[in-house]
Amino acid sequence: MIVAEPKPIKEVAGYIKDCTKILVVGCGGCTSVCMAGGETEAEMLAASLRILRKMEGRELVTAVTTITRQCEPEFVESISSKVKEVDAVVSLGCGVGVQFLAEHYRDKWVLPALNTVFAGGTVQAGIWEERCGLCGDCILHLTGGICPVIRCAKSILNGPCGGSQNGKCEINPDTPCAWHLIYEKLSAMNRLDLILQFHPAKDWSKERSGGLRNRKREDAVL
Amino acid sequence: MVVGGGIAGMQAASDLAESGFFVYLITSDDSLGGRMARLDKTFPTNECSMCLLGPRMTGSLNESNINLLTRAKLTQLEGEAGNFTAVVERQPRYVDEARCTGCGLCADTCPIEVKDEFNGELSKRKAVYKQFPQAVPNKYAIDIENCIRCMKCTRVCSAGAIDHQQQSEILNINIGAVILAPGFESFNAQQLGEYGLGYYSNVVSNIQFERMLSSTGPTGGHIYRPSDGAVPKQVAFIQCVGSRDCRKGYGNEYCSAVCCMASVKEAIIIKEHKPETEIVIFYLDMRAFGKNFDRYVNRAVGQGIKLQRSLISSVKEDPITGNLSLSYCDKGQVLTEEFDMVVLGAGVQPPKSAGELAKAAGIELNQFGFAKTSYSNPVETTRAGVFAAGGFIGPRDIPETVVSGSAAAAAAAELLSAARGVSSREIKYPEEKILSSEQARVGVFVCCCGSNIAGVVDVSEVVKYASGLPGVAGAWKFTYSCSQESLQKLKEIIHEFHLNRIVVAACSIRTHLPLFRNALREAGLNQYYLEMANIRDQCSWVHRDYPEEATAKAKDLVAMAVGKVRHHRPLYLKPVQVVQKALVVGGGIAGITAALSLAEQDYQVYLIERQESLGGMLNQLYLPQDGIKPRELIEKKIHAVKSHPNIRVYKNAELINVSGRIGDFQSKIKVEKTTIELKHGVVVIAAGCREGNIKEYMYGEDKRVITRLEMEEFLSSGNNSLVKTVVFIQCAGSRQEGREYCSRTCCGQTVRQALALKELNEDVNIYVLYRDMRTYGFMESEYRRAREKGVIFVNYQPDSPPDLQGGYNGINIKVKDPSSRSNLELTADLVVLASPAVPAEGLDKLAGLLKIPVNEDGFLVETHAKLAPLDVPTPGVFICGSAHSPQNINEVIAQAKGAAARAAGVLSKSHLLAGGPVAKVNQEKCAACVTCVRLCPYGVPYIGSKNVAEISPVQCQGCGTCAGACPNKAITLEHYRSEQLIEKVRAMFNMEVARSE
Amino acid sequence: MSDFKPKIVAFCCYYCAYAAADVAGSLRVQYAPEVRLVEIPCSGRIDPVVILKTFEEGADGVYVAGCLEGDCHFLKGNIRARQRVNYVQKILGELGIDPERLAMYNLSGAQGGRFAQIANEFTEKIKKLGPSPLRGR
Repeated sequence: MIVAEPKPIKEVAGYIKDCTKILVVGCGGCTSVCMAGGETEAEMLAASLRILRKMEGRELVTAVTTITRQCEPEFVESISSKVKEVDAVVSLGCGVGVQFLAEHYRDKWVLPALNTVFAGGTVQAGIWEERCGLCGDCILHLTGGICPVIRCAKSILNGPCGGSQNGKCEINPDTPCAWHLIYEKLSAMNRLDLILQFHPAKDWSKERSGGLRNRKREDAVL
Repeated sequence: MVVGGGIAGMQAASDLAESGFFVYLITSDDSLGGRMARLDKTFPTNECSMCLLGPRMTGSLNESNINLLTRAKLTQLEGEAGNFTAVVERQPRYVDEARCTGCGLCADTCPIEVKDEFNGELSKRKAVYKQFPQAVPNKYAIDIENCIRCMKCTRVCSAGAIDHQQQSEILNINIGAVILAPGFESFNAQQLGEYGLGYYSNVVSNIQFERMLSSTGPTGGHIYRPSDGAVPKQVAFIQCVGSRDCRKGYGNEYCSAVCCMASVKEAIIIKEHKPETEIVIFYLDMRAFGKNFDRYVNRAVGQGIKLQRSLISSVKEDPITGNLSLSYCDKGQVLTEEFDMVVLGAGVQPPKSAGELAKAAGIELNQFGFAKTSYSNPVETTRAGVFAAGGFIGPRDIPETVVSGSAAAAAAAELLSAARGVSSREIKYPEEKILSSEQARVGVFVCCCGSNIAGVVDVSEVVKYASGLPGVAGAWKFTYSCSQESLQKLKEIIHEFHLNRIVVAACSIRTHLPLFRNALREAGLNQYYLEMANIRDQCSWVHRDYPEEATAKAKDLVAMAVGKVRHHRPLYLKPVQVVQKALVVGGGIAGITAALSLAEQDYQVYLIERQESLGGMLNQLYLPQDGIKPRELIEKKIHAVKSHPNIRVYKNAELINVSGRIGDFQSKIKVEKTTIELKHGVVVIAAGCREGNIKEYMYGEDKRVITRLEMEEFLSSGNNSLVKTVVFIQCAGSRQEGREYCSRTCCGQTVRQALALKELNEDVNIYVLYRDMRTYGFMESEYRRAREKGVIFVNYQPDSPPDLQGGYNGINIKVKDPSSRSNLELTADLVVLASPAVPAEGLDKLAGLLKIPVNEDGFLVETHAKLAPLDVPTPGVFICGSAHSPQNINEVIAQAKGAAARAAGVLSKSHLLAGGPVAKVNQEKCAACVTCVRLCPYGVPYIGSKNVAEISPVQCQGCGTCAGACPNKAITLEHYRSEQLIEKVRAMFNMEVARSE
Repeated sequence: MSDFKPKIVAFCCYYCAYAAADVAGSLRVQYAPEVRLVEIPCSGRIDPVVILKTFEEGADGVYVAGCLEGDCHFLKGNIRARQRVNYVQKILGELGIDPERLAMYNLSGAQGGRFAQIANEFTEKIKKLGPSPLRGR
C-alpha cells in the first residue's frame, strides 16, 4: 500500500485560512489501512481545524466524507454535490488522491492533509515500513525477494559493499544491510549460487526519472 | 412451593422458576421483602437495602413462573417427596388485589390509627394500610382486628376494591417439594429489664433504630431521641442483647452472627449524618468474620467510633434529662459514662410461627427452635422433599441467606429433575411497535427515591427543565420509580403520550436497568429505547452539601440522557443454542458438591482437579464437626462422584484456555501431558483455599510450634501422652497488615481441637490466646462447653502479641492481658497457630482466564456482595466455596449447591438470547486493515470470504475496543456509537443543543 | 478564578469507574460536583474523535477512567484507552490546548473513595488551568 503520514495540523490550517467552508475527504483505501486518512482521521482533522478556528474566534464549517478510493474517477465524482458547497477540499488521500480530486474538480482548491511517504506494508500493528521503490523493473527473483534498490542505501545491485557492518548498514546502525538480508534469505533457501551471479545495470528508463509513466491494458479499455 | 417472601424465599423461587419449574411463593405477610425490607443500609458496602430489594420483589412478582400468594399459611402437608398436597390457608386482605390500584385514598380517610409494627411501633399507621411504601404487590390491606367497619374506605374507593366480607379460603395445591423460608424474628429486648427497653424512652432496639435511619421510616431518616426529639450527641450500642446468654429464659445461648456488623454499620451511618456524634459500641467479641468485614470495622474505628470490650450489666436513666448511664470495666477500672441514646443489639430467634409451621410441614426443629438440618446438607430437613432456607436454619447475614435460598432451590431441583419444564410457562410480551420512521418522542421520568434524591436535588425543577428539552414529549416525577405502581404508570404514560424513547433519571444502571427495560418491553417498546441518568449515586448522594450544584448537575445528566436516547436504535436478541453441560473447576468439597448437584439435576458435568486425587482440604480434617467427620464425608462424596454416570472426572488437570460465551464455552484442559478440549454451557469455579505461610511465633524454628492443620493430624494420631500444656494462638497471620481479613474457620476449629484434647486427657492445660473469639452462630455452644471444661481463653491486643521463647522445658510465652493489665507467663509443650486461609495457588491465573476480578486479599469478587454472592461479572461463570472467601464446610456446601442452582438456571434452557449492544461492521466501509482482528481480546473478528471484517454477535463481548480503533469508522458498537456518545456530551452544553435544533 | 465552575466529562468504564461511582454514592463520599459521567462498556471503547469533539463542545477537562492495569474486564481495553488518550494529548498540544486537560485514570469497581479523590483532584487541576480556550466560543 501507499503509506502516508499526517501533516502538522497548523500547516493544513494555514492552507485554508481564507476559507469558511471546507470538505474533508478521507480515503477508504491505503491511507485508511495505514491509519492516516480514514474516516477517523478525517473526523479528527476536521474537528482540529474547527477548534483552531474557534480559538481565533472565527467559524469554520466542515463537512466530512470518505470515499472508497480517491484514485478512481467514479468514487471521486460521487461527492460532487458536496464539493460544490465548499470553498476548498482537504484530501486525506495519498498524493494520487489529492491530484485525482484536483483534476476532477477543476475550479476547486484541493489541499493535501498528508505527506505521502512510501510504498510499504504493516510490519506490526501501528508500524509500517517501506518495501518498494517503484523502479519499474523488478529484480526480486534474483535477490530472494528482498529489494536492494529500495532497501540498500546505495541501491547497489551487486552487494554488499564494504560498509556492511555486522549485518547493519554503515549509514545507520539500526538499518539492516539489504545485501546481508539477501545473503541470509538465499542461504536459508539453499540458493547461495544466486548471490554469485553478476547483475548488470538495470533498465533505469522505466524508473520515475524517465518521465510520467502510465500503463494500458487493451482488453480493459472501454 | 416456597414458604416465605423474604430474600431467601424470593431467591429460591426465582432460581427454580429460572430452571424450568413452576413455583407457588406464599407469605403470611402483606408484601414480599421479609426482614431485609426493614433495614436501611446493608454492610459492608452501605448500600441501600430497599434499592437492592425493590427490583428483586418486582422481579418475583412479574416472573411468569411464580404464583405469589400473600397472607397465606401452610397448614398441612400430605403425601411424599415428589408428590405432596399442600393445604394453604389464605387469610382475607379485605381488599381485592385485582382491583386495588394502590392509590392510598382508603388509608387517607381511615379514622383509626394503630402502632405500626413495621416501624418498630415508633409510628402510627391506619387500619387500612400498606406495609411500606415500596410494598410488592402494591396493594392495601385491612387490619380487621382494629377496623371499626365505618365503611369510609368503601365509599372513597373508586375501584371498588374494599370488601369487608372477604372470607379466608383453603387451597389444596399439588406440588413436588417444599422450601421453608419463614425467616427469623428479633429477640424482644424488653425481656431483659436491666436494659430498660420499653420504659426508658431513649433506649431503642436495633430494628427500631434501622427504621429511624430509613428515609421512609418514622423519622424520615433523621435520628432523634424519642424522649425530646433532640439530636443525640453520645450514642451507645450494647451488643449480645439476648444472644450468648446462658441464663434460661433471658435470651438465647447461640450467637446471632449479624448484630456486630449491623451495629458497626448503624454507627457508621450516624457518623455520616453527624460526624461529631460520639459513639461507643460495647461488645464481647467483634465478630467481623465475613468477606471485607474486618476492613469495614477498621474503617469505623478510623472514623472515631470507639469499640469497648465490656459486658454492660444494666442501663440507668436520669429521669430529668432522659440520659442514660452505663457502667463498664476497662483496664481493671470501673467507669461510668453518660449517653443520650442507647441502641440495643438485639439478637435473632426463630419466628413465633416456627413450631406451628414445623408441625404443618412435618419436620423437626433443633434445640434452639430453628429448623433441624444436617451439617453435610444444610438445607435438608428431617422430612424428605422438605427443605429449609434463610434465617430459619439459623442466624446468618444476607448473602448467606441468598446462598441458602439458591441451595434449597438446587436440592428441590435435584429431587424433581424429571418434572423440569412440565408446568412452567413462557412470558409473552406484546409485539413491538416499529418506529423507524417516527420522530423521537422522549418521555423523562425523574425519581425522588423517597428523599434520597429529592432531599438534595430539586426534582420539580429537573422535571420542568426536562420537559423543555428538544425531542421531549413530557416529563413526570415519581416518588419511587421502581415501585410496582410507578412501573404501571410508566407503561400507561407510554401509551397515552405515544412515547418512543424513555429516560429514567433515578439510580444506577447496575441495579435497575433490567427492571425498566422490562417495563418498556411490556409497553411494546424495544427495550433499548431506554437511557438512565444516575442522579442519585452520582449526584444527590455525593453532593449533599451543594443542593444548587447538585440540581444543576442532575439537569445536565438528564439532558445528556435525552441527547443520547434520541439516537438510540432498536436492538434485537437472537436465540443461540446452549451446550447443556457444566465444567466444574476444583475437586474439593465445593466442586464435588456442585458437580453432584448438577449431575442429579440431569446435566453432564466435567469435573477437573489440579491434584492427583479428589477431596481437597477435607482430606486433612479429622475432627468431627456437628457429628460429621470431614474425611468420611469426603470419601463418601468422592465415591458418589466416581460412580455417577453424568460426571466425568479429570485429575492432574488444569484449565489453560477458555473461549466462547455463556451457553457455549470451549475450554482447553491440560491433563498430564495431553490437552483436551471440552464444550460446556457454564463454568463453576470451586478452587478452594490453602493454608498460608506463617512467619510469626517461631513457626518453622521450633518443632513444638505447629499449625492448626498439623494439629488435626496430631490429634488423629492419638500420640499425645507427653503433652501437658497446650497454647493456641489465634489470628496467626490473619487480621494484620497485608492480610487484613479474618480466616473465619480458625476459632471454631480451635475450640473443637481444645475439646478433643480435653476428651483425650482431662488434665491437659489449655490456653487460647485470642483477639476476638469468632464462634458465631451455633458454634457458640462449643465455645461455652470449652470454657466449662476448663479451657482458659486469654485476650490479647494486636499491638502486644504473645511473645515466644524456646526453652528446654517447653516454649515460654508471655502475653499481656488487657483487662487485668498484667502479664501472663505460660510454658507450653505444644503451640498451635491458627494459620491463615489464603487463596489457592493459581487462583489469580484462573480468574484471569475467566475475567473474574480478584479483591485485595486475592479472593474472587462476586457480582454483588449481598444479592449475587455466587455470580461473577462474566456471564455463565459461577463461584463457590473458599475461592470466594474462607468458609466452614457447611457454608461451602451451601454455596456449592447454590452455585449449582445458578448454573442450572442457564443449563435448563435450550437457547439463550444473544446480540444487542455488540460490535457491528459496516462492510462497505471496511478497508480490511486487520486492526480489529489484531486488537480483539477475544479473537472474534476475522476477515471473511468477502475480504472484509466479520464479527459474530454471539461471540462479541461488547467491549467496543475495535470500534474505538477502526480507522475508517466501519465498526460501531451498538448502543455506544460515537454519534450517541457525542450527542450525550453535546447535550450538557445546552447552548449547543439549542443551536443544533 | 474562584467563581469558575468547570465542566468536566468523565468517560467511565461500566465495570470499574461507573461501579466505583456507585460505591462512592452508597458510602456518601462527597466530591466535586463538576464531573459528568458518560458510561461506556469498557474504557477501550473510547475513541480519539469522541474525546476531541468533547473538547470542541466546550468541556474544560476530560478524563477516561478504566480498570486497574492488568484487571480490565475485557483484558486490555484500558491499555488501548491509555494509548488513545496519549495520542489525543499530542493533538491537543498541536492545537494549543493544554494536554493536561485530558487524563487517563485507573481504578477498581470497589474504590469509591478513589473515584471521589480522582474527581476532586482533576477538578482542582482544571480550576487551576482555568476555562478551556474553547469555552463559550
